[in-house]
Amino acid sequence: MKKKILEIKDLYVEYITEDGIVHAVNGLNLELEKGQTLGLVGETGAGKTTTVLSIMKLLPEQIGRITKGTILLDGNNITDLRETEMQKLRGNAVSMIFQDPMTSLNPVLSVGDQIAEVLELHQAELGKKRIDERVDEILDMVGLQKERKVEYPHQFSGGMKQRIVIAMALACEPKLLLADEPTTALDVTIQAQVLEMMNRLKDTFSTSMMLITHDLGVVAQTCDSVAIMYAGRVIEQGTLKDIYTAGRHHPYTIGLFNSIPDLTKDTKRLSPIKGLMPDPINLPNGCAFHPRCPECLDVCRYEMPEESCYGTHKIRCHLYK
Amino acid sequence: MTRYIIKRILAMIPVLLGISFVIFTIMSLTPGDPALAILGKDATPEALELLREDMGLNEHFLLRYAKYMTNAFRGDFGISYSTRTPVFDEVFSRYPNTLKLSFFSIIFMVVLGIPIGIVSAVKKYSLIDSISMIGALLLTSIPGFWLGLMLILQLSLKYRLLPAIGIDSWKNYIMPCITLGAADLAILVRITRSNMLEIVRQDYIRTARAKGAGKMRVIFKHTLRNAMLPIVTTIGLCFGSLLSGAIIVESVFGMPGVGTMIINAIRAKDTPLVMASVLFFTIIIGLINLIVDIIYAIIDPRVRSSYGG
Repeated sequence: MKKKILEIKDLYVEYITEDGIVHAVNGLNLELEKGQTLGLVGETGAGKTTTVLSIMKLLPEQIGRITKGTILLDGNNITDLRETEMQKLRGNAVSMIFQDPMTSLNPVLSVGDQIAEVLELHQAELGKKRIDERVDEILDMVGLQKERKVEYPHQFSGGMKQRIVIAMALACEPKLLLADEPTTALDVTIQAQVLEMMNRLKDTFSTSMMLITHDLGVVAQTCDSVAIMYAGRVIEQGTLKDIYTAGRHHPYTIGLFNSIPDLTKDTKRLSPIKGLMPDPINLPNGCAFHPRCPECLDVCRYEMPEESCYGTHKIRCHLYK
Repeated sequence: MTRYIIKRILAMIPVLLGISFVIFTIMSLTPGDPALAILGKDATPEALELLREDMGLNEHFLLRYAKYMTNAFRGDFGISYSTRTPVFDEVFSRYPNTLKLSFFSIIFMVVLGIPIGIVSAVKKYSLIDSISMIGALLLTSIPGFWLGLMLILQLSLKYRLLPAIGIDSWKNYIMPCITLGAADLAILVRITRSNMLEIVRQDYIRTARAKGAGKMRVIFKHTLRNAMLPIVTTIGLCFGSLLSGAIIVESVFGMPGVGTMIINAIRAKDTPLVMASVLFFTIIIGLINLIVDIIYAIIDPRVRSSYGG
């Protein structure tokens, strides 16, 4: 068995809001093997970002908290680590790329300084001169001229900013990279470039990656395994092959694939999944997907299905028992 | 940047011309006779007429304005009607006191206001935050002259800690600075707090934390610098209100500043003195604004590039 870089067991996360307690993640189980890329797919509000923020322990203070479960990073339990210990891991062993490169960079610091900061925080022993050289190397790797390191974020385009964000995330050669929709804010041509670059760098540094996206095309291109999330739970996971070709699927997964327009078929309308994501303050009993499920059984209304395993392929649905 | 500064200094010329014209017009058109003010009620009509002719008061006021301005550009601000001394000397002997008072008040504000604002923001909704917010509310609500009088009553009369009037030592400046700076201090605390809280929510602060930056680094390196722009603006604006607030504070604490002088000059229709004081006010406020804009450029590279390099 390969070594796991990340294992999440039975994770529960909630946000305390004025309207009530938002159950963002409800008993999530995930594993990621070393060197692999896991695609985390789901609608807006499925709890994808909350999951990665929990791994970083960057949930909004006073509002968000992990109520149950464990997160193992490279075999070490990080769930109860103190803030100062977490700071040593962030940006070093595990780093994160955020969704919107336009707002992810500090507007008043030069990009060189911002990349150097990660190294200053985690590899101060390198010394100023070596850090400076390292910044040049990293900029070169993400395809930016090193002369531009004295410039400020507003002088770069969106795609370039995302390259800078990626450079920052990879500066310390992290074991795990969490990418939260890294290409959503970019246009399609730049998307392909950035994804290709991330894949290449991931291999260079032998980093494992968790890629959040709602683009199934991106998943097919870049991931080794896929986890599909719905209302804070993984409802189906497996290898790329399991999800894209195997015969059995969770009705939600089928719905997701059906909502992709097919160029070869002559259909007049898209076929979206009917209904909306349930209110996370007030989740339905049983399987959270049952109100929208076309194949809903009686048992779905009151009993949460167990996971059924078919080798690497796991489905959480009453249809498969 | 240098070009920008030169441009801004040149842009002050039309402002000065405009303001001087408005003040000169008001001084000329309002009722009151400077000759009468100088000679007193018992003067003969002939003597008054002679003095008016002598002072050039019978000429058209546009002509007088033009003459005044040409002289002013040469550095000659005329003779005060009421004290019969050169205006320039009079103004320059008093301006340093007012400026000192304003600068000390600004320092008092900044040294207390920004740290209190930061602590309030970092410890949002804590006891210390509540105390400073209530304190800020009190300070904005208290009228300056009342605070000044209360300070004199307590610290000078009752406990004999600080001198009540005069400008003989640094101790004389303590109570006036507190009185003058109190209201603006409260504003600064609130502005600092709200801007820190605003910036802390930004994505790039989360990025900084995701890099592994500690709390102090996040507050000072990433948050404060971004929150500084509106804070600097507020300090600049406060300087204007401080200069005018100085008029009241100077009379409460018996300080020979420019504030008391302007009030007396307006009463005596002492046009040269009023004009010179207002022009100095204008120049100082113009320079403060310029300094604020330069600080902007130092803080924010986006502003810097909009100035053209």
